[in-house]
Amino acid sequence: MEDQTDFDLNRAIRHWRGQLGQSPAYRAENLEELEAHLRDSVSGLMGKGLTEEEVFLVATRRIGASGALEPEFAKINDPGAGAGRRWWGPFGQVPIPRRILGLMAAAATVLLATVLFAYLPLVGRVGNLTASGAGLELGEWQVTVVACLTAVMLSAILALCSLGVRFASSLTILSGLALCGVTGTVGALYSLRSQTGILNQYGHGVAYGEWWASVIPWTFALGLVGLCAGSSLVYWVVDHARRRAGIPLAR
Amino acid sequence: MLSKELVAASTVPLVLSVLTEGESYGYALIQRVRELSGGRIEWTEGMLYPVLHWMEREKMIESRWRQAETGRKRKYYRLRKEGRKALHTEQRHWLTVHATLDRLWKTKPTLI
Repeated sequence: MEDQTDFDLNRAIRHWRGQLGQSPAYRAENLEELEAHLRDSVSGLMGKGLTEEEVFLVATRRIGASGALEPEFAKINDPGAGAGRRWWGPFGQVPIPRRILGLMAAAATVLLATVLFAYLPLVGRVGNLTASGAGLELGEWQVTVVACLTAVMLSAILALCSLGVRFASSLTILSGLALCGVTGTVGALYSLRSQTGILNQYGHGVAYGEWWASVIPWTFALGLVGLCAGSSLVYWVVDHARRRAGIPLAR
Repeated sequence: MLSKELVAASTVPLVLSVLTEGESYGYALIQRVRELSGGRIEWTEGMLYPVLHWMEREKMIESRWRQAETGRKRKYYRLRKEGRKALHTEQRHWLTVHATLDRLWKTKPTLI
């Protein structure tokens, strides 16, 4: 039989799996199972007068085109449909169901909104005080308010995405978290800068005791957000690279 | 060859019924159905897995990874109590359809 081509069955299977793995519709375990099926199918077709390449083509065709399989796998792995796909959380190996993440984001929205609305009247009072030389500059508090508002809106979007919108992928959620972290940081930095640094030079800032009371919770909150967003991002990059290379998750 | 709709509708009862014979994995399930139907029931093989995972979620079946004698790892599925109940229901429904059609075709043989 003239089967002396360059066809390498294992390489072809790896490539096929890598192609499937580019879609977020499949979990690593799905790919593992489909590969096991493909290998069984290939073994079953061997010795029937077909070349390895022909056997591979028939077996992959029988499994079905990626375009046809993808929506079915997406449906079953869709977290909106129940306990399906899980969002890999800040600690890498602890899967957080997207509903829980959505509830967390919703709680963050409420918290941020509360802080903002508690802060707004204060800003007004401080604005008045500026006239007497003791408050924040107008430009600075506007930036703080805009940043806080953006953070509220972003976490609200995140909550909506996580809780029900079907198109939200892990990437959307991660980007949302990262953006929340960035805007929160900007807001906090402006807030701190205006409360302590510059104004203190002119002797109108917040007293040291109050300064610490303000810095500690901010540092704690930002550290937490940074840890979550950072480690999730690292995990996502690693996971994406793993999927592209078609390497299964260790069990 | 059966229509796509009929194949889709019969997948769950077929899987449940094959699993009453004992634990099995995707490829073997497909082979068994092909063999029993004389090749008239053909699945797009990859489509079986989302169905199996759905059935697992519905607690009809359970799965575990196991290494076969060949050294190859496969995911084996096994029937659960809920699955047996679901199979009884499916059986009742399919037999109702079958019996109804059967009676119709017996009284009006010209239909066939």
